[in-house]
Amino acid sequence: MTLRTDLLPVFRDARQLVQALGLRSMRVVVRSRVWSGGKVRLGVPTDTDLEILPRPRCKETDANTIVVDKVQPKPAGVSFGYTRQQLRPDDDTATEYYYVVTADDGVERPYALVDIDTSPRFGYKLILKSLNRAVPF
Amino acid sequence: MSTTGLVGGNTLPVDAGVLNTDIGDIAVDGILDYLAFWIKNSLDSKIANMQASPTEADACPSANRFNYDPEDGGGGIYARNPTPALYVWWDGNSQFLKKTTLWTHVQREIHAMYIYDEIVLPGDSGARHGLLPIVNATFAKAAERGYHPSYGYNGDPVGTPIYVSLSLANLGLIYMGGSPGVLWEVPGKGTNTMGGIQRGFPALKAKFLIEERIEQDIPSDSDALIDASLSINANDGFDSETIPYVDRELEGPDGADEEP
Repeated sequence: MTLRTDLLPVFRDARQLVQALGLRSMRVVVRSRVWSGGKVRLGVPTDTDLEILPRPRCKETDANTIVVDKVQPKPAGVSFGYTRQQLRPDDDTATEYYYVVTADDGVERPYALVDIDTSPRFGYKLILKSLNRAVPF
Repeated sequence: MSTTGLVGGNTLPVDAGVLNTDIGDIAVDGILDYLAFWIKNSLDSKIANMQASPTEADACPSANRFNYDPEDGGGGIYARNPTPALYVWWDGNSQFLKKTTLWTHVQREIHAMYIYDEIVLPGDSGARHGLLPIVNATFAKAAERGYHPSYGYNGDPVGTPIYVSLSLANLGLIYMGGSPGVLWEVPGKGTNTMGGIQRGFPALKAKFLIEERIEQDIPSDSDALIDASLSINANDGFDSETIPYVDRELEGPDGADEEP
């Protein structure tokens, strides 16, 4: 055990509290879409979602970018949180990965992961770019 | 002389037409419609059988055909427009060709860009690696054939050659070739994602050449079919004296120059 692994549950509980207070309104999901045809976008898709909980902090920095931070890390020996592999899965011939962010309007919006910073010890940081290219007006 | 005449399929002056309708460019609009038909004819069956998404049952939906340059905005394609889409436009280049004593043509470069649904690379590239060659072949075949036995433009009988429907000279379209690529819009690459999955829109940009004949003046009632004089004189270049070679009277039909 280290100081870090001792403190991670504290951070998790605090984040759960923030979420319970309704202050984390955006839901962030890593979606894995497996295509039945054996290649991406060939055949029928089946989705599997991995929701990031407690909900991370999300900040829209421009019309197409969201910075997601306070993502609970999962170092070896800890049973909760998320690994880098889970947040940025390896390529697979028949699987497409993307993020889905649902704001408080309830609309699911797809995003691509363009950067990930796993150096913060208590909360990873992700940068997501909208897969909907249209900018406002 | 009459002031009304055709340049290709466009009548000048432009008729007022129906209230609140577009000023059309018949060549562009017609080529757009014709190429879209050919794309659907080539690809609809196959992509419908790939099951990938509901939109892929139609390789070129009628709502996704546009008669302007998708890159006009300067910052990339018009991302708000749906895909798959076909764009056909005139880029402003034209050439005035004096083809014969009687006929003058305007030659124009007509551009087309077919933009397919977003693909995910590298995984998706394998499933669709033949898409753009097929579109390229389709454009070439459409131009070479000049018609399709199941197609007629704007109410023309099926099988009508496109050069007839659009009043194009030189039997229609000349395909100048296409260049394939992937339109990389956002998301851009991050510092930590080199080699990662990328998304883009496969597209084929192509160019066609058309010629449109400028219709000759049409004699109007007031200046047609009357007696006229014709003289041809020449001089030897040393003085102003001329030698008449021809001095004829061209007679109109009997009674044509009589007062009504």
